[in-house]
Amino acid sequence: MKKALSLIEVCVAIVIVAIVLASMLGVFSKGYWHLRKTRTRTVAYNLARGITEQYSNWTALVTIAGSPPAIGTYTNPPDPVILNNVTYTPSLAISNGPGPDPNRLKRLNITISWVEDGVAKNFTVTTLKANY
Amino acid sequence: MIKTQDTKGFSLVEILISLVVFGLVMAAAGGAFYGIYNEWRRQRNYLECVENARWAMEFMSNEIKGGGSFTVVSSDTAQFDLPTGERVWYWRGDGGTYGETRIIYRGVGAGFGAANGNRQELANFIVPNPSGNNTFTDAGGGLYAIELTTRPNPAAPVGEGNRNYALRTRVRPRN
Repeated sequence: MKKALSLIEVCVAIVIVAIVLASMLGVFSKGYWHLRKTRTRTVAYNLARGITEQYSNWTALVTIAGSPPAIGTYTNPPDPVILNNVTYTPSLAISNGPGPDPNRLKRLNITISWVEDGVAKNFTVTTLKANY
Repeated sequence: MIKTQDTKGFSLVEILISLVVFGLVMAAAGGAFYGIYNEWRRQRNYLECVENARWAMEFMSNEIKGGGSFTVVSSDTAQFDLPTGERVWYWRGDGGTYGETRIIYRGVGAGFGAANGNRQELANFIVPNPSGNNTFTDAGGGLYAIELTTRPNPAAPVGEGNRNYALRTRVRPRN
């Protein structure tokens, strides 16, 4: 009776182990993908916050959209920004805020758009601005 | 004819083949683990850079928002007053008395020297902004821009595994 393993059997076992290990490597590429996503989204978040700050002043809002600020979407300004070789295009959408006097309370949606691996991505921050 | 071969043991050829196969497997496994370790280290370094820049940005913009009399003292130094009356300074080290160039510091004091005496580190891995922008800029209309760039190894030039990561925001001191 033949008790030992043949070379073929050993090779098959090695191939199976290799396939299992290779599938584990996917964790690393997934990790890198998430890291890249975090990098671009953090940039977009900081730019969006910066624009929120810029228009957290009624005078600045009137400068871009008139008095009272007209409902609509505004671009250039806010101007596109290139950081880490990615172009981030911001837009400011003004709508009426909740409450009895919409001319004195506006809702601002700041959206940052960019292209990552050929896919369009965007990130939106919403804030309210009162004329006080 | 007398049969001398013992079928119970391994022949020299069998042992040699098994050693070669084992060696190949170990070499492949070693290469794979080296690759995994390198990738893990690269991701950890980049994550540290993102974390440093993000945290410093969040901290500085929150504190500046609550402050007033914000002044850009020089390209990499700014000061402002807290409602408590304390004067806060942020600066990038000068490579001498005022700390290392790869660090953004925060200190409290009427003058820069006094602030340097109680400085704390806000962010590490800092390099000059590739955009050419200063760390702190007066953007006009009461608005100030902050830009930070980090790199896993600030002392080494940009290269594979040592890429820049820049963040930019704006802030309006309210007091």
